Amino acid sequence: MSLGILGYGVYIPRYRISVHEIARIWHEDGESISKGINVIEKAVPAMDEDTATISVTAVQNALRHSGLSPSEIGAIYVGSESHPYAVKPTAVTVAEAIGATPHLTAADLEFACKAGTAGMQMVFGLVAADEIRAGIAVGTDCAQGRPGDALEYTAGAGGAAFVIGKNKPIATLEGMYSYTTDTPDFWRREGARYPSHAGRFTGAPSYFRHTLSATQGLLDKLGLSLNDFDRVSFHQPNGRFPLSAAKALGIPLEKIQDALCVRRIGNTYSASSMMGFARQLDLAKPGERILLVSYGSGAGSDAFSFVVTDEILEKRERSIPVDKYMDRRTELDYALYAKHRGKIIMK
Amino acid sequence: MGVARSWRTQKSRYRLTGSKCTKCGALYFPINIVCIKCTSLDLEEFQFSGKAKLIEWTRVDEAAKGFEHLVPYYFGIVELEEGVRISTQIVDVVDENILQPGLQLQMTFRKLGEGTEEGIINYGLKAEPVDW
Amino acid sequence: MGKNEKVAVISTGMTEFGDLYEYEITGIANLAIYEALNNLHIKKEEIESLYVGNMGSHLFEGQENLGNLIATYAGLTCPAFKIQAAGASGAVALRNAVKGIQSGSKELVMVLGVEKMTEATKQHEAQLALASGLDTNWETRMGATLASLFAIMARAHMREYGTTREQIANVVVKNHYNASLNPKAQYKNRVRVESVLRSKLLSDPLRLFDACALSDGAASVVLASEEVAYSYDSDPVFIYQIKQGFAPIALHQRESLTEFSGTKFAAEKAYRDMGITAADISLAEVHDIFSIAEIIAIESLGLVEKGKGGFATENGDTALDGSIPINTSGGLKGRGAPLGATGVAQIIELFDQIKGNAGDRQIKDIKYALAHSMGGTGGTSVVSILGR
Ligand SMILES: [Zn+2]
Repeated sequence: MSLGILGYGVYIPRYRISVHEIARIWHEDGESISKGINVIEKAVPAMDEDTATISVTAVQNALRHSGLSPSEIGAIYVGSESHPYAVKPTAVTVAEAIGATPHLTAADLEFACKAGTAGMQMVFGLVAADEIRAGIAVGTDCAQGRPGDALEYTAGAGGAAFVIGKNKPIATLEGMYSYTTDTPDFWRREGARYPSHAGRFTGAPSYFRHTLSATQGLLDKLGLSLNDFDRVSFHQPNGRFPLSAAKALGIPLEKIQDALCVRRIGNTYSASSMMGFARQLDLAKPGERILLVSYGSGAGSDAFSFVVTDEILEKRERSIPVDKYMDRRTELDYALYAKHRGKIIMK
Repeated sequence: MGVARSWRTQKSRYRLTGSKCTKCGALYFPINIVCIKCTSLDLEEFQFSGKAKLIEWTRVDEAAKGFEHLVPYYFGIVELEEGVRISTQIVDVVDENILQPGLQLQMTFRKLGEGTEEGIINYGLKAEPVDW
Repeated sequence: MGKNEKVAVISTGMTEFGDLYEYEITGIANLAIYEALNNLHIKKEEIESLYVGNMGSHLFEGQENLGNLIATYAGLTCPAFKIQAAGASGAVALRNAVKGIQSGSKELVMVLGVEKMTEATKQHEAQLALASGLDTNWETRMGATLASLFAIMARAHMREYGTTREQIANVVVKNHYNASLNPKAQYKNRVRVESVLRSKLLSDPLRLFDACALSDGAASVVLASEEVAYSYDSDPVFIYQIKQGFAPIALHQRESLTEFSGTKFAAEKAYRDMGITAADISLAEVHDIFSIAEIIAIESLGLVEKGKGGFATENGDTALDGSIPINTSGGLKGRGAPLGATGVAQIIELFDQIKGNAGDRQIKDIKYALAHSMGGTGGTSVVSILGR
C-alpha cells in the first residue's frame, strides 16, 4: 500500500480558435504572436459547457480509469478560477453527477492556475492520514481573456482529474513541496468580468521565481537531482515559459515537450500543469519518475515527484488519452467564438 | 426550473437514474414510484448506462425559452440501450449528415437552458455521438 | 339512458378569429354565447350548464376560475367550469357536455371554446404557454418546442413513407385556400408551395408557414337532448359519436412517431359503435396545429391509407372537390387557432356544412362529418361524428 494516483482523466472541449484568427480581428501579426507565445490554437467550450460540466466529464474519465466505484470516493476538490457560481460549490455538482454523494467531503478551491494541485495536496493529506480511502482532485477552467488583451490568445478550456489513494497506484507519490509568496502578478476583483495582469511582471518575479524555487525545494527535500527525472510538466501559461524554466534548470527539451498541451489547447489555467502531467502519464513507462510543478498567480507553486508503477499498463486501456481529446477539433471563427464565450449580450 | 424541482430531479437529470420494478422487471426513466405495467409499488433505483441510439431528430432554429443562445441546436428522441426512450439535445454535431437513425450516442453532462443571471444553473445530460 | 343516445347541436355562435385586441376574454365569450342563444331565441336561464374549453387563460392572462368569470359577465347563473386539455380543451369540454345530456341529468347545455392569446405580447410568453401542453420536465426543459416535436414526426414520416416536403406544404396551401372562402377565417390570403418553403425555419423541416399563428376567438354550441332538439329544429344535426383517445403525453413515450395512436383508437371505436367505416365520412375537420399533423391525422383516422397522407394531399384528394375534403373551414392554419376554441369551431363548420350553410366551401351529399381535435402532440385526441 503506497500513496499515489489510482487513475486520472481529462476533458477538453472540441472547439478551437487559432491565434491567427484572434490576431486577424485585432489587426495584429498572428504569425509572430503565435511564434512568440508558442501557441497555435486554444480550446473553446461549447455554449452549454462550463467548469462544472468539464469537471464532471474529466472526473468520470478518471473514475473509470481508477476502477473505483463512486461510493469509495471520500473527498472531491475542484480547483478553478471560473467556478460557475460566486457562491455555491462546483464540487457538489461533480459529486452528485458521479453518484458519490452523500458520504464525502467536497469543496471548491481558488488559487489562480494552481488550485487543482492544491486540491491534490489536500487529498494526499486526507488519504495519508487514513481519513479517507480515496479522493479526487480536479483542476478545470473556462478561462476568460479580455477581448484584445494578450491573454485572449491563450485563455483556454479544459479539465484534469486525479483519483488519489493507496491501493495499487499507477504512480506513487515520493513527495511534495510548495513555494508561496504574496506576489500580485494577476488578479480579478469581485464582480469584474475579466482578470487583469501585470504584464512582464508575470515573468521573472512571478512564474519563474516560484516554479524554479518549488522545483529546487522539492529536489532538496527528496535528495534528488533533475537527472533523476524522466518527464516534467510545468504550468503552461503559454508555450514559451515552461521551456524557459526547463532551460534555466538544465532540463533537456525531450523531457518536457510531451507535456506542452498549451500549443494546441491554450492555457487551461487550473488544469494546465495537470493536463501536461496527464499526457506524460499517457506516455510513461513503469519506473519512470515524473516532476509536476504548478504555478498559480498571486503566487505559489506546488511541486510533486511521482514514480510510475506497473499498474499503469494494466489500466491504460480504460483511459481516454489526452491526445484523443486534443485531436478532436472543430475550428471556430472569431464571431462564433464570441458567441460560444457569451460575449454576445442577448438580454 | 424551480429550485425544488431542480433538486428533486437531480438523480435522473445528472446520472440517468431511473426505476426498475422488482416484480416484473419493467424499466422507467425518470424515477417512478409505481410500475404502470403491473401496478407494483415495489420499485428500486436503476442506473441506465448512458449508451443510446438515435431514433429521430430535428435542428431547432426557433429555440425554446432559455435555449436561445444555442440556436441552432439539435434535438431528438433517443433510445437507451436498455430500451427506454428519452428526449434530449444532441451536442457536438459537427456534420449533420451523421444524424441517421441508429447512430450510436452516449450521454454527456451539460448545462440545460441558460436560466436567469440570478437563478440557479440547471445541469443535465445530453447526447453526443460516440465517434468523434 | 344508453350510450347511443343522440345529442343534437341546435345552435352555434362564433367570433371572427384573429387579433381581437379590443375585447376582453369575457367580451369574445359573450359574442359567441349570445349569437348562439339569440339565433334560436333561447333564454339564458334555460342553459343548465356551461362547459368552457380553454387552454391557457392562466398563462396568457393570469386568469383562472374561468367558468365563473365568463358566466358572471354573460349573466349566466348555471354551473360553469373550465375544462383544460391543451389544444383539445374545447373538444373535451364538448364531450363532457354530450355525456351530461346522455346521462339524462341535463337537456340543454352550452359549450364555449375560448382563447385569448394576444394578451401575451412577448413571443416567449406565448411560446411558453403553447409548450405547457408538453411534458415540461422531460421535453420542454430538455430543449423541446412544439415545432421541434412535430418536426421530428415530419422527418420520421418522410423517412418511412417517402412523404415530400412539398406534399406537406400542400396542406398549408389547401387550408389557406379554404380559409379564403370562409368569412370568419383569420387568414384569407392564398399561399403557394414556394412561399411555405421560403418562410423562416422553425425546426427543420418545419417552417413558419407550417405552424398556426396566435389567435383570439370564441366559439359556442348549444347542445340538446333529442327530445328537446325537435322543439327547436325539425331536422337537427346530431353528434352520433364523440370518443376520446389516449396516448402518452411525451412523444418519446409513444410506440410510433408517425401515427396518433389515441386518434386511431378513438376513430376506430366511433366507427365500430356506429356500425360505419371511414368510407362513410364525407368530410372532416382535423387538428392541423402543424401541417404535418393533418397528414398524420387523416391517416390515423383511416380517411386515407397509412403513409399516403402526403400523396393524397398533393393529389387534391383532401381539397374541397376531392374524395375526402379536409378542413373545409381552413383548419387551425387558415381559419385561425385560438386553441380552446378550435375544437368547438370544428363542430360549427360541420354543422354549417350539414345544414348546407357553408357557402362557397359547401360539400354536397354529406353522409357523416368528422371532427378531430388534439392536445399537445397527440396525447389527447377527441373524435366526433356528426350527421342528420
Ligand atoms: Zn412491474
